[in-house]
Amino acid sequence: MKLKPGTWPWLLEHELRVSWRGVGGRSFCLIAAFGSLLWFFMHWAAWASLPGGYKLLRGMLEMPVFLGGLYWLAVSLLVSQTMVHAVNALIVRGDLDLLLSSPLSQRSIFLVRGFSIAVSAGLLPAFAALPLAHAGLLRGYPGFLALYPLVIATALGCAAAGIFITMTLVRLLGARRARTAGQVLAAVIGVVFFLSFQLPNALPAAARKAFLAGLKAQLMENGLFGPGSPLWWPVRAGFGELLPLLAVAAVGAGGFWLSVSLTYRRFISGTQEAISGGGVPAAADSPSGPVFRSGLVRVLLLKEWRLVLRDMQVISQSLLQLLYLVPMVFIGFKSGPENKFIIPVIVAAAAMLAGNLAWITINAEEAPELMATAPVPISKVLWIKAAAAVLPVLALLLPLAVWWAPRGPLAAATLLLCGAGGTLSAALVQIWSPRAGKRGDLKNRYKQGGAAGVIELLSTIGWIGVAVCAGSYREWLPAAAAAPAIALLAAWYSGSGARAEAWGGGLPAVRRA
Amino acid sequence: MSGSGNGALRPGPRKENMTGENKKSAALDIKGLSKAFGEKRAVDQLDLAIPAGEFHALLGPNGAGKTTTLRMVAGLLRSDAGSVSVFGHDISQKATAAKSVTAFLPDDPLLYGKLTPLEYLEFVAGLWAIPSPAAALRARELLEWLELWGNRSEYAEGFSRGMRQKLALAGAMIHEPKLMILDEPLTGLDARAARSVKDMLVAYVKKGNTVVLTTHILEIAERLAERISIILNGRIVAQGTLDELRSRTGAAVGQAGATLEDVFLELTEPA
Repeated sequence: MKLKPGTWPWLLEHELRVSWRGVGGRSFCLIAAFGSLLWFFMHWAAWASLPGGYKLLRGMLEMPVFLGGLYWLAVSLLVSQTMVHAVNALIVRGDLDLLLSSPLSQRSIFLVRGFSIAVSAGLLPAFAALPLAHAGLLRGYPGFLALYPLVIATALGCAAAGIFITMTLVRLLGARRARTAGQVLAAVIGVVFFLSFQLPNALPAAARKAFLAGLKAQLMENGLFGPGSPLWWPVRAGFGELLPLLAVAAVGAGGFWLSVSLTYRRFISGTQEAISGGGVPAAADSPSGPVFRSGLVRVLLLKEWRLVLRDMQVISQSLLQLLYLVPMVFIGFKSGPENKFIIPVIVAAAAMLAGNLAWITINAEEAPELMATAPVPISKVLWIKAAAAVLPVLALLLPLAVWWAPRGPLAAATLLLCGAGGTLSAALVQIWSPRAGKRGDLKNRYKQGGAAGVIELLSTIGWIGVAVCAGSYREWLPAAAAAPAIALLAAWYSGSGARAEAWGGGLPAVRRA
Repeated sequence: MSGSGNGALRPGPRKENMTGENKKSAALDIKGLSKAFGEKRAVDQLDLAIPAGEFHALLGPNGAGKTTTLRMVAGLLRSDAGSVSVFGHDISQKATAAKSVTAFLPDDPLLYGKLTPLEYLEFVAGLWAIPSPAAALRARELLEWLELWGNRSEYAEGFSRGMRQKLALAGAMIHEPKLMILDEPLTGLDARAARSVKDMLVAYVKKGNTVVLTTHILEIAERLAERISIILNGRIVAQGTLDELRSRTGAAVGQAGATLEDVFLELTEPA
C-alpha cells in the first residue's frame, strides 16, 4: 500500500527506508535467515524452560540487582546507540533544511525523526525479550506480555535521552564540536561499565573490602538500592506489575514527548544557525612571526600527529582500544610480570590501536596528490607514516617493559617483542595492501577494506598467540609465530595490484570522477 | 571537426613563438604522450613544448584530456606511452629532480582540514626541503599578499572555496617552483580573489617562471596567456598566440574582431 505523500506516516516510512539503506543483498538475507532461526530457537527455549524458570525469575525479584543491572547496562548501550543516531539524524545528514522548508508540520518532522531513532533502538531489545512474552502467553503467564510496553517505553526513553544529550551538546559546544563530542560520549558510555568493574580492583585491599560491604548494605531490604527501589521498577514492570509498568511507560513516553518538543523549539529558535558554524581558531603564533621546523621526518610526523589529535572522530573511534590499553598497562604496573593474562590483552589492544592509526596516516591521507607531487621518494613517506602510527603505541608499552625487566626479563622481552611485532605488522598490512579511504570511514574500515581487514586481524591474533605461547605453551610457539608471517605474506601478495596502482601515483587516493 | 587534413589546425612551429632571451630551454617538453582508460583514449599521442618563461593556457571542452595530461605531467598518473620532461629532467626517470622545480595545483585544493594555514605551509615547505627560516618569512609574505594572514590561526576546514584555493596557491608558491601547473585555478573565486590570483601569476611569469593552466574561462586565456593550445580528443588541434589562432580558423571568424570564444567554438565543434 502506498502511503499518502506529505503525511507523517509517509515521512516515517521515508525515514526508516533511509536509515536502513545499504542493508540488503545476500549477506542481509543470510543474517535475516540466521536471525529468524535464532529467534525461533529462543522461543522454543523460553517455552521449554518457563515452567521451572518462572519460579527462578520470580525469586530474583527479591534481589533484583542482577536483572536490574542487566536492564540498566542495556539502557546505557542503547543510549550510546541513540546518540550516534541522533548526531546523524540532526547534524550529519543535513536534510533537515529541506524538510523544514516543506509544508509538513515542523513538530511532526521532529516526532518522526525521534520515532525512527526509537525504532532502531528498540529492535534488539524486542528481539531479546519478546520470545519470553510469547512463550509466557502459551504457558499461562500472561503477565510477561508487559514486556511489549516495557520494550517500547525503553526504546522511547533511550531515544529521548540520546536526542536530549545530543541537543544539549549542540547548544553548549556548537554543532561541529557537538558531533565529535557526541561520538566520544557514545563510545565512553559503552566502556564505562567495563571500567567501573575494574574500579574495585584498583583500590587497596582494605578500601575494597569496605566499598563492597557498603555496596552490599545498600542492596539490602532498607538500603538505597533495595528490592523496593524505583531503580528496579523496569524489572517489576516486565513481570506485569501494574504500577511500575505505568510508571515506566509514563517516563518513556513522557520523556520522549518532552525531548522532541524541546528539540523542536530549540531548533526553530536558532540551533540551525549554530550548525553551519565557522572555523575553529587554533593557538596563536609567537609575536615575532611564525617559526617553522624543517626536515622531512620531523614535519611529516608532526603533521600526522596534529591531524590525529585534532580529529575527535579518530580519537573517539580509537578510544575503545585506548580505554582498554591504559588500565591494562596500569594493572601491569601493579600486578607485575607474573600475571600471564595481561601481555596478550595489551598486545591485542596495542596492535588494534596501531592498525587504526596506520590506516589513518597511510590510507586516509587527505592530500595524496600533494605527497605524490613532492620531490621525496614515496617509500620514505610511507615508512615515516607507519612510524607515526607505531611510535606512540610503543611509547605506552616501553615504560612497563622497563619496569618489569629486573623482575621478569622474559615477560618484559615478550611484551616488547609482541608489542612491536603486533603494531609493526598492523602498519605493514596497510602499506603492503593499500586501499584508499576517508578519515570518517575509520569505523567501517574492516568492512570496506576487503582482504586487508581479515589479514590484519589474522596477524594480530597471531601475535596474541605468540604472547600466550611464550608464557605458557612453548611447544606451540612456532605454530603461533607462523600466523603473523602468513598474514604478512598474504598482505604482500594480495596487495601487489593495489600497491602498483597506488604507489605509481603516490599514496592510495580516493578515485575522482 | 576532426582536425585531420587541415594543416592550419596543427600546432604551429615553436620557433616563431620563442621571443626574449631566457626562453631558449623548454620548461616542459611532452612527446607522444598517451593514456587510455579501458577503451577510451583520454590522451592520444600528444606533443607539447612550452619554453621557459611562458604563460601557456590549455583549452578544451569537457573530457578533452586536459586534466589527464596535467596529472601525468605532475607525476600523479603513469602514462601508457610517450615522455614528459621538465627542464630536461624526465619525469619517470628523474622524478625527484623534476618534482623539485614543479608545483601542481589541482582543481580541488590539496589541503588538510585540521591544519592552520601556517602549519600547512610549514609542512609543504618541509616536503620541498626549504630551509625553515626562509620558508617562515615567505609564508608570511604569501599569506599577507593573499589576504589570509588574518586567518592564519584558523583551521582550513572552515574556509570558503576561495580561501582554500588561495591557501593551496600559497602552498604551491612557497617552494618557488620554476614551473607551475594549474588546473582550473579560478573556479569558485570571487572577483577580488580571482584578481589577486591573476596578479600573482602574472608577476610570477614576469620573473622568468613558467605557468601552464587549464581554464574554462576563456577571458583568462585571452588576457593572460602568451600562447594557447586547444586540446580535443586527447590531441592538440591548434596552438599559437590568439592572433595566430584567429588566422587559422575559417573566414567567418578569422578576422581581427573575433574573440577567443568564437575561435574556440569553431575549433572544437563536433564533427
